[in-house]
Amino acid sequence: MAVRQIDLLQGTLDLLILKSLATTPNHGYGIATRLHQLSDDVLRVEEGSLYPALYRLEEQGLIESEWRPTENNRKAKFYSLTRKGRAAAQAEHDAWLRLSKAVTRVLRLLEQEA
Amino acid sequence: MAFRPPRFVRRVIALFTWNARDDDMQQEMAFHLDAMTRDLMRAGMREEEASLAARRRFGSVLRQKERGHDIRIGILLEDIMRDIRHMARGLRKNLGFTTAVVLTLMLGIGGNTAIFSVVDQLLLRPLPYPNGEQLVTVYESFPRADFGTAETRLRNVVSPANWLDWQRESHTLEGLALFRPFVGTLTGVGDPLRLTSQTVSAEFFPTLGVKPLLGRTLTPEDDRPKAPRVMVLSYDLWQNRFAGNPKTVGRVVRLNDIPVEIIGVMPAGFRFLYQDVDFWAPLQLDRNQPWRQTSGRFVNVVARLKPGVAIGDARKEMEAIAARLAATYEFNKNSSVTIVPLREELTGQVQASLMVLYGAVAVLLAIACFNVANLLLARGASRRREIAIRTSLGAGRVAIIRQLLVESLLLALIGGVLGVALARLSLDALVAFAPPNLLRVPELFVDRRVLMYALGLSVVTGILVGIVPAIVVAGQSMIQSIRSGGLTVTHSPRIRQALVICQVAMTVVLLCGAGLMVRTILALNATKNGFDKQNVLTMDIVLPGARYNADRRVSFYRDTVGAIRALPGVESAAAANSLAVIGSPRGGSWFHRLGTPELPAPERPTTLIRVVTPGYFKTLRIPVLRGREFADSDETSPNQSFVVNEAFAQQFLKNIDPIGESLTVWMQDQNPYLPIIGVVGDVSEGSVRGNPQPTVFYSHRQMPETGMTFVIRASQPGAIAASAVAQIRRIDPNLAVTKIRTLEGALTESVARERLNALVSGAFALSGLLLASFGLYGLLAFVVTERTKEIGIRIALGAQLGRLKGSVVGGGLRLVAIGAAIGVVGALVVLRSLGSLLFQVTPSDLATYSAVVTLLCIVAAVASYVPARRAARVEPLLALRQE
Repeated sequence: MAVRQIDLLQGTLDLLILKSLATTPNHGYGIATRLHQLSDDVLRVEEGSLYPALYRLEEQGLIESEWRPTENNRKAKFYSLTRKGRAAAQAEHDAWLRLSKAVTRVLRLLEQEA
Repeated sequence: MAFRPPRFVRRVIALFTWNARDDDMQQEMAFHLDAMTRDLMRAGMREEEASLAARRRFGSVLRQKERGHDIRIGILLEDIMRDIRHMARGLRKNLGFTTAVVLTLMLGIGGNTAIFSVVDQLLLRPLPYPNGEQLVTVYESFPRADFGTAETRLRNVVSPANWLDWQRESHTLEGLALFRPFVGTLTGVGDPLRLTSQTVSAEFFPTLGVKPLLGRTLTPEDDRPKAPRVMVLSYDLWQNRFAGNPKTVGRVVRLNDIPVEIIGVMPAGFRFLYQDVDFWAPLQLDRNQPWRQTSGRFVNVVARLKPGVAIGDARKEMEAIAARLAATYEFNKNSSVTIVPLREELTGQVQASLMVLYGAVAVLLAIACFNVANLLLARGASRRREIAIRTSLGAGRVAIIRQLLVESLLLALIGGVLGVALARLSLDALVAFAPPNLLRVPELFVDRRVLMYALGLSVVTGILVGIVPAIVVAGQSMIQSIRSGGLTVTHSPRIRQALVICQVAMTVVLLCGAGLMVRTILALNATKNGFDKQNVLTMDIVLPGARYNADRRVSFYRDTVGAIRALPGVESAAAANSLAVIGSPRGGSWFHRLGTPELPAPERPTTLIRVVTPGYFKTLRIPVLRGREFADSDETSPNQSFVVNEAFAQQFLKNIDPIGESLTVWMQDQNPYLPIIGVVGDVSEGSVRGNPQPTVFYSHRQMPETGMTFVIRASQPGAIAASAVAQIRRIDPNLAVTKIRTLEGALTESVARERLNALVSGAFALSGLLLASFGLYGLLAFVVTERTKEIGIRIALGAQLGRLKGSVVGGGLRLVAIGAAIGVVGALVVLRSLGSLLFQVTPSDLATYSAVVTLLCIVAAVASYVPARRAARVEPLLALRQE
């Protein structure tokens, strides 16, 4: 792949998973591909990080899972947000926006100084 | 949103459902891989390439799974595994310790499991009949003070008249059925075959409640007098002789030369009282005959308690009925009833032995437990440092006790598994060793019940042996970790000494018990029984009554005995109605001596009857004390006569010369007064431990029995068996010759129970001795190790090595002396219960006790000397430099 891939910051993966599940439930592979595509192939989610994260989130009660068929009629484990997860997603999102705004601002000001 | 239990609960659930979780995870990974492969193929890859690429990108599925696990069940499982791994490592590192503990427990648990299996199958398991606990056997009984057993009343077989009256009058018993042993020769199916059977009344099968496998059982029509002869086969006979052919039912075979139709086959394992019954046939007893006038007592009765009736009630009712009958009929005078539960009937013979062996093996297990407890204490002492470190790192007292307990449990379970294997082996050996009708079970096995017992025993043992050492060790380590020095000797010597004393005491009890059993069997084998049992071959024959009338029977036995005598190597030969000592007499009956007042029937004296051919006493070397025995010349003489034994002369002809006195015995239709021509020496009656009974001997010519037992004295009895059988076959090829064995062998087999007692209890006792001496050795060796420094100083100060050794050995012997003293007292108390199992030795036999104590002292001295020698070899400088 031509584009250099970026490792996700600790905590951002959880946010991306939660947000990606906000509109529609999805299975692990679906989440990974969606994140990959939406980031223009920049973000690559390692399965070794994805599934432990999913289990952890489920453990924390932010998402829940259910086995049901895909559109190709294959059985897959679909994850969806719980009410607690929806709130958490919003909170994480706000925090992330605040963080990234701050980082961007700092970077821009530093650039102007230069 | 669905209800979600708290996280802790979910964790716990996850722990137990982790297999399901595991599956779930694996499926999820498989889907992931599969979906990725499809996408790659859609992008234009070939299938294999796509699959390979997906896999590579995905990484190890296994690793993925493991990482998933960590989060879910993580800590809990990990902890348990780590504990077990830790323990296993510890046990592996101390292989000697582990082996000693495991083998000790194997011995204790294995022996226990084996004996339990026998107890279970003989005493605890339901009888193989529906509601079998309701079945009882019913006997007539008579007061008898002189019988020499604990029973005050003598059981007897039953008169058919009484059976019929009981059947009519009893409201507590139902289905009173008759049975009687019977032996016959089967012909028409291969070689002639001698078969044992039970002839039974029509009530027999319905009362037992067992249905046939094929065909039918006996009906009242079959049981009518003179009805066509029929028989029901045992499963084994059907398999062995009729190849399990279902068309066997309906077949006609010949039994004692009479045609008999086979009407049914019983299921495998069906039996009643005896293992080796081949078939059942109707007794065909005439129920209208006035039995009290025509015959004596000759049938056995089995019945069923009506539902809800206690055996005590049945006894009360039947005794009342018997009392009424006794008041009504002269024949029934003094006669009462004894009711025996079938279970007791089946196990009476071995129950006492079994309980003694169970007791012995329980004591052995206790010794093993003391030994293991001792080993655990020693190990705990040597692990002080490890435990102290764990304690200082925050492990609580409870945690340490728990860890030690889990360890002893693990050891006990390993010992238990090995013990079950040991039990399995020893049961096979037991079945191979015991004669068929001793245990009255076809096989002994280890099944789920026995396994559960072994498991339970292992767990209990593990806890029992572990709890005290665990508390002691954990307690010490607490104190230790507080003390700064922590080097003083704290191996709880008092507890360990007490354990050794207990072991020694119990071993003494076991050894004394086994010693008494061994003395019993030695005495039984050594008893003379009044004749020379060596070099005598015996074999049985039954002539078919249909082909042999009285005259032909007499000439047959005269001819065969003559032919056998003529064989080279045969010193003498004769025949008798059964084996001396262990064979049943021909009967017992009233007699009357000519010239004395005639008494009414119930007060007449009685005697046993045996039937012999000329030369019998000479062949068995039974001394002729007065007069002479039957001679060949008597066979042709018109004059007949009796021979009596010494007991008869002593009891009934005191101060009278027996020779020339005339007797009549109520045995046959015609009972003329015949002169006594000889008095012979006494022979034990009933068993080798039985006392002689007054006996009158008939010559075979007077009472021409069909079934007789040959006795043949030869220098090499084994070598002439074949030619003797050939002589018999030459005279009649259609006879089955059975029970070909030496008289000595037959007598030895008759004391198999006593031999088994001696052997098994001996094995237990020696195991106990071994364990106890290991225990003593272990303790002393440990003491010497602990005292190395002190011993070093003593040697440096010039202590004499001899005295040093003496002090160690003396310390050991002091414990043994205390233990032995307690043990002897215990043995005197406990072994009194052996009473009836012993022969010619009392439960407090001085010789046995002294031998046991001597043996113990020798073993103890050796066990103490080894550590003592090590003490004497301590290098003073090395010892002082320690620490």
